[in-house]
Amino acid sequence: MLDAFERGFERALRLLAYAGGLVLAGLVLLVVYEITMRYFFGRPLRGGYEITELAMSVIVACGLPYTAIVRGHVSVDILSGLFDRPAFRWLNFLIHAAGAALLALLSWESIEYAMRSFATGDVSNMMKIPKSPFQFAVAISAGLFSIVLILEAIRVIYPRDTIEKVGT
Amino acid sequence: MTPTLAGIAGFVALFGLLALRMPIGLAMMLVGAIGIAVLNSTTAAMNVLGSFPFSYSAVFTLSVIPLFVLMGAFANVSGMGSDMYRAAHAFVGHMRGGLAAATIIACSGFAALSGSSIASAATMGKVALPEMERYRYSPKLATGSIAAGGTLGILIPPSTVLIVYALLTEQSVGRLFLAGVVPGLLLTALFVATVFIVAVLNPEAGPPGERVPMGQRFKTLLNSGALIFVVIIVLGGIYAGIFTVTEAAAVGAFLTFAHALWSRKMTIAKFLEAILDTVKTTSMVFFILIGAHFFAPFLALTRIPVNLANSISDLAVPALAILLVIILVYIILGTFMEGYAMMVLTVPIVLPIIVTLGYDPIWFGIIMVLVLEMGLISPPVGMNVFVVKGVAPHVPLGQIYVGILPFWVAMAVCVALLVAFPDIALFLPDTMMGR
Repeated sequence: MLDAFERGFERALRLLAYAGGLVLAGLVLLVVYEITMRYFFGRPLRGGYEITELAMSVIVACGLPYTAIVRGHVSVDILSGLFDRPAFRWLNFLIHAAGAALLALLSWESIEYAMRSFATGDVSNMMKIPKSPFQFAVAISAGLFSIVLILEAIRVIYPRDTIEKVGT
Repeated sequence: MTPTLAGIAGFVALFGLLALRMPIGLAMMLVGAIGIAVLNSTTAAMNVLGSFPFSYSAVFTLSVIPLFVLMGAFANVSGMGSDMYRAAHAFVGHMRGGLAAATIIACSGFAALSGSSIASAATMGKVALPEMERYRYSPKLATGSIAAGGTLGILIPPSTVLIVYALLTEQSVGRLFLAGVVPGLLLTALFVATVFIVAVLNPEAGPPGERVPMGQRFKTLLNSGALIFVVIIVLGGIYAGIFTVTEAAAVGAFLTFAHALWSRKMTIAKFLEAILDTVKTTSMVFFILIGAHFFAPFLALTRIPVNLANSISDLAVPALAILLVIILVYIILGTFMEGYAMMVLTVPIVLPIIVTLGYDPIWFGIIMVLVLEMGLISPPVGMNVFVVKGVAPHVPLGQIYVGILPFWVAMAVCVALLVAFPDIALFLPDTMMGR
């Protein structure tokens, strides 16, 4: 059950990360278009700056949970031999649980932040793009990240039976 | 609780969490948020939690990170790295240790497209290692030159590490990039000299290859023309003021993509792999940066950085001695800590000291990158070494570290030269961009 959910969840998060990558590819085209317009047609594009900013938040939001589930986030591995012993299992569980709790709280606060921004009609300077959808995206991303850590916490207590292939 | 005490407690908690392998971004968020709650108010902490993740990812200047990473990933697909290696091979391969020197030179060229040491080491490892094994190079020299050459990736612009440093210290990315050029070339020269010294002292280590006729040499150079063209457009564009750094990064990604497409190396699968890798690296860096933004206000509230800088400047110790201690501490930290982690943790504390002592923050950024590079190739946790081990599984780790040692010494020489002559780094930015 858990295995199937984890596999499906990882696939979903990977698709989300691909979506972030496509946004980035779009950003490349936008900037190249902007330069072409400015130098060859003398028509600078308005709003490239803020589109870039908002696109960045989407790229990061799409990538964070995937990076978490493939363990791409940086941690310090100096004492891993020591803490991998079964005696430290509960400590490991607590660390993951604390991370999950923090991100859940962060996600909740981000939703409130986005709601406030939606209510006050916070928009970007030039193109008047509402910011709240992007803030909601970040909040959802933090929520997904939190779920990844909950899964890892469960994994500490119930390790996978089958040996998974090493590395990604 | 006094702010100083809270700060010390915060650091202890942070290192505890890191030792327990909490991801660095998360650990800084947790300690930072709790610290802000204690020293300011819970409301402030909650506001920070809700607003920082968005406000510190929706930042225009930060877009250079994914764009340059993408450029490196596309350059990787297009095979520009191997073209560059073949050219360097044709020119110096017939000398003693020539293939290892070619590896260094190709790494240096590829570094101008890639801002990551790991990517440089992986790319060059796949191309250069089989060649060096074919000519019966000693595994030590072969793996050592790849691991060391790879580190040039973060010194020669574009460099993701320098971008992160620029953000943490509010320095100009362009100025830092300029400052990295000459030290990057200097380090390349020192590495090449190291190869030749090793090969002369031990002729078995790097037997000479075949001499390639002149005409053939320039033909291979022409093949790496695409790389040279992209580098000139991207870096030249920044320095000539035609592009902003962000625009240059986007143009670079576009051009390397076009080259990969034109040379029929780009497939949908490779494209997806490149963007997935880029998104992963981007999220990794951003998560640390967001965490650092939680930790920084907490640290400022404790007033530890200011107090520490003041008390150190009151010491009757010459500035140089303090600088050397800082460098030494970095070298030790670098042996077991990941580079970004080390930087975001220490810069808020160390930079005020450096500035109070009267050193230039741009120059210190270059020193910092060099010291991080030394960490990348020193035991027990040298990321580049693990990458090289991945390419050359049959060479024992111990041998790789032995092979790296001479290059590590070369880096120490480079740091010493920079400390003695800061103009090596500062000359270019000062003359081209004014003081």
